[in-house]
Amino acid sequence: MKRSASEEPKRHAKPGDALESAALSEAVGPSSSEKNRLRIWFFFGLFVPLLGMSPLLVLQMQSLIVQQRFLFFPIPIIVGVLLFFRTGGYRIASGVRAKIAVGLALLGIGIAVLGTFWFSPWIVQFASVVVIFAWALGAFAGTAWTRIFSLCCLFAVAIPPPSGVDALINTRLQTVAGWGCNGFLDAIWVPNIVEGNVLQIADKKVKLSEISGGPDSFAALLAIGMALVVLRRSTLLVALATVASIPVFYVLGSLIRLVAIAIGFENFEVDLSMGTGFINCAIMVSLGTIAAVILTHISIAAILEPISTSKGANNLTALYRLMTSWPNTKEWSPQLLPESAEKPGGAPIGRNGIVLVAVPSLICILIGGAAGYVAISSARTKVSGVRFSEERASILPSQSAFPSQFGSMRMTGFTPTVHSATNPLGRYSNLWKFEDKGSQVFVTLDFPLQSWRPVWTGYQSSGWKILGVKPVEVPAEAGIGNLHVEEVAMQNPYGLYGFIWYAFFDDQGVPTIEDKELGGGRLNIIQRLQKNPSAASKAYLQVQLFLESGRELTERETQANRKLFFEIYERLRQQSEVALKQSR
Amino acid sequence: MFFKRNKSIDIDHIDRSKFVTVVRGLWMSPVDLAGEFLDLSTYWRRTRRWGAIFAILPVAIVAVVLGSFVAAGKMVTDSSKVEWYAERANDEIAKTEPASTGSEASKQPEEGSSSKRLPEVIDMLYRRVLQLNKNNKLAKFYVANQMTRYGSRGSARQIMESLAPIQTSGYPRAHAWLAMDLIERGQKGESINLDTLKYHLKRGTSGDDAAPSLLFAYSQLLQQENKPAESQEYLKKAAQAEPQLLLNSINTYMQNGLPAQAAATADLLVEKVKDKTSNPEENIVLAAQAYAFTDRIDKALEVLQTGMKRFPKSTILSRAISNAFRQKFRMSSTNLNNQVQVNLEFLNAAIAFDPTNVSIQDELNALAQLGIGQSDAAIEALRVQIATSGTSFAARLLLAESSFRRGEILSAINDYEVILAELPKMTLALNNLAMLYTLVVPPRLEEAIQLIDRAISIGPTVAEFHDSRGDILALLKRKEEAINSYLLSLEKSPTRVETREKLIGLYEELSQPELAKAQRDKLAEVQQAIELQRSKMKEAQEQATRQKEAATRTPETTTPVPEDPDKANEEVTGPKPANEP
Repeated sequence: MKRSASEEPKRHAKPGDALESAALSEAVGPSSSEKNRLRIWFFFGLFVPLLGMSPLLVLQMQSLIVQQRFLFFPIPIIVGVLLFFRTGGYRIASGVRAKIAVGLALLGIGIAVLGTFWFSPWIVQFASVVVIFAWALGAFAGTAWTRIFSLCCLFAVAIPPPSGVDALINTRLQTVAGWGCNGFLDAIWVPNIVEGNVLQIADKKVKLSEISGGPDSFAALLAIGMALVVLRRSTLLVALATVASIPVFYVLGSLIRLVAIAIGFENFEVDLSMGTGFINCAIMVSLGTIAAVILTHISIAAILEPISTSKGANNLTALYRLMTSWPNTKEWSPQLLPESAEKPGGAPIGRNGIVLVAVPSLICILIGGAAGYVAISSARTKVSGVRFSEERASILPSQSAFPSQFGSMRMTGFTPTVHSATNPLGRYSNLWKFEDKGSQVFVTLDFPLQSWRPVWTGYQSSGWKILGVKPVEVPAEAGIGNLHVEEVAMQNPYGLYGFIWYAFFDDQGVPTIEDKELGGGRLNIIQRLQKNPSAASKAYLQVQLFLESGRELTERETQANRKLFFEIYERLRQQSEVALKQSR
Repeated sequence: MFFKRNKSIDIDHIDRSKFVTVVRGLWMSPVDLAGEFLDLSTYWRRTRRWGAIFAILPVAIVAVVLGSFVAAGKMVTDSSKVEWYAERANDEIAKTEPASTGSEASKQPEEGSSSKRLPEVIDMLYRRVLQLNKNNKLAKFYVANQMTRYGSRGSARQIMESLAPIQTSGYPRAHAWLAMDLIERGQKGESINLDTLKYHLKRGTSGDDAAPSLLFAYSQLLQQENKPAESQEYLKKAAQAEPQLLLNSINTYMQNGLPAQAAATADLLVEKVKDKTSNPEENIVLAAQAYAFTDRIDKALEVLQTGMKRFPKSTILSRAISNAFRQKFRMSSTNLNNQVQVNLEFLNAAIAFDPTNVSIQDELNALAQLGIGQSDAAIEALRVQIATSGTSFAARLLLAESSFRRGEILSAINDYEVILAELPKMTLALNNLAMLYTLVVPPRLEEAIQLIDRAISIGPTVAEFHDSRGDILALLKRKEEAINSYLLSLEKSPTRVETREKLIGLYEELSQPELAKAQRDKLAEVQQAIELQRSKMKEAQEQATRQKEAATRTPETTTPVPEDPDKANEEVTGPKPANEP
């Protein structure tokens, strides 16, 4: 069937074509009064609120930079800022858009004020993104809101998801990679076992989290994908498809590394899980994964590219085009470009709007000043991590805390450990190993902790299945008073049972009554100002008793072990109290 | 266009406001819709940049290849995997035990050996088997057994008990493991249930691959239960793999007055070890022991001395020759007119062949008990012997012992110093001299500690030397070190009552009541165990006496007499003039 000239598909539009629109709007240029408005809008709509938020933002950045999975966070922020500079259409918004900008600015500043009041850097970081979006919406009237939104998404990528959702997603994806590696190695008959988050090949144990972390971590890959989408001004469908492909490539990358380690170890006696081999392998796989993301994005963009036909297209084609070109519809309709330049409609952001924003901005800067004072005067802040000097840690109960024969238990070892700064166990762990009637018993003192954490999660990642968690009542004869103790029953895949009892006390030696009390150091800014700022961020110490058994404990044994735990807890608490008093 | 449309749309001029119109326009007949779809696909195909689309190809190839392998692995059935992993585990086990047929319970990797990582590999293989099939008994057994390597013996025991419950025919290897566990606990002084032990031994030895040590243990138990025929049967089964176990059989025959059977078993043992190429020195000793046990001491010495020519530097052979001469010395004793006479030359030879043999003290103690070398006449005779026949270590030792017993410490010191000038490695003399140095005024403690350290460096496993070191350190007021020495001594020999008492004393002096209490509890446990064993021995001896009486009527029935436990202790108790005259 011959196609008429008018029906021939047109050359596809280049994403850069849209810049013509920006150039067009820039050519008009803001007037001097508008420039003045833009400056004021910048001052009250962005500069002042961000200044007010800066103390908690700095704390948040400090906490992000030490977390391996958020090491990348400066990259999307820098990319976002650079793209903002390149965005045209810098003129004050008017009409509905102006009202929305002012409304969002008020919302963002309000959230920032509340976040600062609650001394929550996370809320403040979120508020900062809202404020930036509101300001840009008001200041870049010549740029589509969708473009501004996508740029702001780059800043939002650096916000850690609440409740450790990102860590959970990471763990789940690592589990998938482990599962895949298990299948791959079974296919080539390389003996292996995956237990929780650990892969074992021969006598080599590899932690999936160690292999899948670093530069090719999920969050970093997601940031790269987002930057790609924003840089290439992708349509919504392409952006979604690209982002959706990231978990697949993350799993593939982890799988390749795990398989490489397994094959290297089994067949070539090369250990790629550490040293130079590890770094080389990580770099190669990271580059490969990034290349795969880029290639996939290019391919997806080509597949979902809108159809550039001229007149005569049908309804379905029209719908397809609308769907695949959104939000860059105009870029794919050159004829609409002159119309797309936003016509000044309604009043621009005026004095009232600016005053509306200026007042909460000033409140924000005041409360931000107070937060800054608290942050600076506090030697240990909740966000930057509760710190214990090595000297202070060394005076806490160590090997001599227990005699070599403690009741029916015989001490068989003592291991003090210094963890990484972000370890959920705290910076230090003192581990006493006992033997009781042939069974192993472990007592640990972990410190300093800033918030309550479910102690069993670590065991879960090693393959233990949680059978039950329940609070235990502390009897009066234990002589401890009120204390929140939890009892955990677990079982590993080989039938071995594990039992944990754990409880906390603070750095004054005071037992903690509720789990929420910990990290519930959620003191607001006024309480922090009223109290000694350093006291606002308490450190907690956790006492844990772990014992294993080939069968479930009888009620009598459980009672005996609870009693043992109370004895151990009180012993360590009292010794710690004395030591901590001396250190003060 | 494939199909005629109702109305054409200028799609370049569609914006969001027209979206509803477009969606409404889709309300058409299926045929029209199909037509529009075909049009759309044509447009789509013609407007594609295929080069960009195919950019995904290398990525897709990698993903598909990896995915295929994963899918292939997941499609392998669990039973095939279990089979493969179990086979692989067996191969790995075979690597760890090239010639042995013992059970896994006794296997431990040798430090520094090439198979160091094998236990971890086997452990991993069996854990995978268990992951694939939770009811695999062998895997469960192995995983539980591996727990003992990490110190979780109690948990391992509980899992084994679930595999081999009492009064039920469970997994034989688990029964065997539990039996060995009970024996070990019994050896450590824990009270154990003999019925349970017997049950597990019976079940554990039912398989063809029962460990020789287990068969031997069961034969011992049967022997105690007065079932000699069954006991011998199990002993012979054990000896199939470990011929040295026949020595026990020989011993039993001899104790029951059956020398002909003993000699025949001894000859069988000699025959079994003769052609063995591995551990030739140990085989020579085994053959010699077989002769010695059947009172053919000259034959034993002949075998040993021939072996010594082959292996002139062998410490095992020199110790065996020394012991053979000790036996010959004992056999040389004659009683004429109520006067015991011994040939000291044999004892001299025993000392000369192995000066580090602490068992020589037993002979000296025996001589002292018989009154030899105690009277003035006897001492004079010894002096004459030394003067006339030159160096006589035995005579010197007897003189030193005699001097010590009569309180002539300096004289005893002199004798020991003379002996050490000749035999600087004679640990017995080193130990005794060190203790004598603590008795002089003022005590020569620094010299004493040097001597005992020398003795320990030569014989680090002798509990008595560590005990002596503890005594000297306690006198030097180095109490913490003394405690460590006593603990080392008890580690080598947990039944040493006096050492434990001294340890308790030191803990109390250092105000460590908890540790003292723990040791006191342990002491009570040990004393109870010794008492229990003594009563059992007494009972067994009475039974043996009754049995011997019966044997005179029915010669086929024999009753083995178990070894005296105190005798076993003698070896580790060793010599100490200061404490054990």
